[in-house]
Amino acid sequence: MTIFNYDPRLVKTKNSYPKGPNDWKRFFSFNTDAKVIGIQYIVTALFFLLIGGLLGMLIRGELITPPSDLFDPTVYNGLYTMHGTIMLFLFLFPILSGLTNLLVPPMIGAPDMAFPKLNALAFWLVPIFSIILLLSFFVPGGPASSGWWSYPPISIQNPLGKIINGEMLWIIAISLSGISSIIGAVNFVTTIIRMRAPGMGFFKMPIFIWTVLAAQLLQLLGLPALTGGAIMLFFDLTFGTSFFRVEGGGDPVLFQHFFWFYSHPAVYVMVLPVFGIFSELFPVYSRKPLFGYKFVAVASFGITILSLVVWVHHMFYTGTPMWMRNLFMFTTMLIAVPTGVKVFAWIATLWGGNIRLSTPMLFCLGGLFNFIFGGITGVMLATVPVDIHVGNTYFVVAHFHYIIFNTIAFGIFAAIYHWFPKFTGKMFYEGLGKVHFALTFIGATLNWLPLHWAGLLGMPRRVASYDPEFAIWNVLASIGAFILGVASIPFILNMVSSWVRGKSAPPNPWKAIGLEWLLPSPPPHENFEEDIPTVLNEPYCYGLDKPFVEDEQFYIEKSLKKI
Amino acid sequence: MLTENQNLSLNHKPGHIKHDGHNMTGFIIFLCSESIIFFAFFVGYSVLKISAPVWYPTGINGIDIKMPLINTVILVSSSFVIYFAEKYLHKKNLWGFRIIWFITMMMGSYFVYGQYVEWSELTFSLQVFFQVAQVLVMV
Repeated sequence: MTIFNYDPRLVKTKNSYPKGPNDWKRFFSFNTDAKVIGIQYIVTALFFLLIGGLLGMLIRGELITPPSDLFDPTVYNGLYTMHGTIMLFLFLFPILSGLTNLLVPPMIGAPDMAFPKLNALAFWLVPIFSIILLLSFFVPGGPASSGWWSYPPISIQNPLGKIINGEMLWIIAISLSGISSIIGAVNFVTTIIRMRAPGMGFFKMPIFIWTVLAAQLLQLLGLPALTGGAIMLFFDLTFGTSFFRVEGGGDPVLFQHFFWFYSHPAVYVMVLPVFGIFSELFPVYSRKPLFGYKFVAVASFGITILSLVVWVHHMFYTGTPMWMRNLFMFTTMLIAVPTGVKVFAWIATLWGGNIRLSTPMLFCLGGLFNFIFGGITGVMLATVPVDIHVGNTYFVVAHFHYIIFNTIAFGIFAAIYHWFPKFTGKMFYEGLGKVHFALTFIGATLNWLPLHWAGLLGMPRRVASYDPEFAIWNVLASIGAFILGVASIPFILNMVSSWVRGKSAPPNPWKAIGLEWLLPSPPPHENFEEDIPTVLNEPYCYGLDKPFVEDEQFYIEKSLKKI
Repeated sequence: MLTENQNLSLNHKPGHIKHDGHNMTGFIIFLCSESIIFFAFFVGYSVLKISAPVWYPTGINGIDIKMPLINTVILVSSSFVIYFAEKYLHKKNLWGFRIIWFITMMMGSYFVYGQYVEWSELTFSLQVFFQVAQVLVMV
């Protein structure tokens, strides 16, 4: 059944960047090397983190006083819509794709991804759709302003009657982002299934690989539903069809189903790799094997399957029938089981470990702490009576920021610090890293913890002006947001400065076990090249005296020679 | 067990692990994913149909079944025809390939024609054409 015999290794050796693998210009070219693409993704995404963060600080600047005095409410609508869209589609998805690109091939001993050119295409779609999205600030009527979920009928109102409007550009950008994600997902799944090192059976893969596989399968199963919904929304908006228009016999709630069928699992697409990062880092920094490796691995797939049947919990207050509410309350609560397995395993890994509080570990611990908190408010929100009471208030905003920023972004920062020496070949400054962590943790807690109270008292989300009784919580939150803004300074300083003039990194600075740590820092163009190691045992055998790969000493010596 | 071990030892020559034919794996994964998009359309159609008080929407008195059926049969069967064309190509029988390829193209052209006839008969598509014309004028 094979159509072509296509060996990426043979093709790739020829067409990497022509001027040599260490030319800095390769980061600005259509390079097919997964490591270059990974860094392209991460840098682009961090740039959009700054833009999204700036919008977030503008929102908090508006909300520091009860009346809407900084912006017109219409402008405010555009701000929070773009803040959400940029943070999700231009920061979190690209940065996780970037980390996955960097980590998957070395971790499974593959030279590169299965489809290197498709991989580059998936990356280069990101700047294209981000320009389209940012252009929408400059079209008449401003950017999309119906929230990141873009519910009809608000999203298809098109008050100015122009064909090219912010909402239309938003839909095009989201669809392109979907195409990019699908290309990426096909690539990751094929790579993980087909290109593992000899001896690396499924139950010898690192947990990060398990979670990436689970997350990308979820992407493949869920994302087309959003694309389908977006196409129908586009037709309703531009061509006057009535899929979601009540006056033409359409059903606006149908769009909510399409949207949440993907967009709830999307949270798991983002959080699963972060679970993988936690599972990688806790054993390294507490010098113990991961507790319950197989359970943690299989729990990822439990989350994948369950997360496909929970989407209606976003719609408890949009006229959902009672039987449906109860059913989806039940499935949503079930998802706490595989998640709880993971949390339990991490805590058991930490228990009695020889814990090193370096920057990546601090971010991991902070992320775990916040995740437990955000998970508990998640279970609260899954309960129908609570959800009907606090749905669409700041309680929901606080909950999902606790997951999306305080867990996912913390995990991403941890991963960036942990693997920074490996992929740049330079050590970062530990002190600046700790300052970054302290500012981030204080800022994030101060930003979103008070909003829980504001939400429970009934402050609705997505409003530019609010009742003065909520003022105290909002002032606290705004101060937190500005501290978070300041926190980006030590981070950028650290990354740029240590990459340019930092100390050279040894191949394995953290004494970690894993295929990627057997490579020199930075790894050569095709990772292990001709000598792909044979995996003997499951990962994380810290202190167990079990060799991870056959002939480990050979690879250690080889990696040291390359410096 | 023995054969497995032998295979492992044979395959495990560093640098000689061949990963051929990722294309098929990738293609199958992509197909599974893309079928969800059509699943979304079909779900949308059935939900709209079930929840509508009267089906069809006002102003439409039912859709012609015969023409779409012929079109579907032609479209689906053309994929079998093109499969035989590929067979001939692999056998290096160029004329056989050309003839069957031509038949496939004819079937495709008929399908496009059929689509044109179907869409031009629908009354509610007028609005779409009107708006497209507006876009063209604006550009």
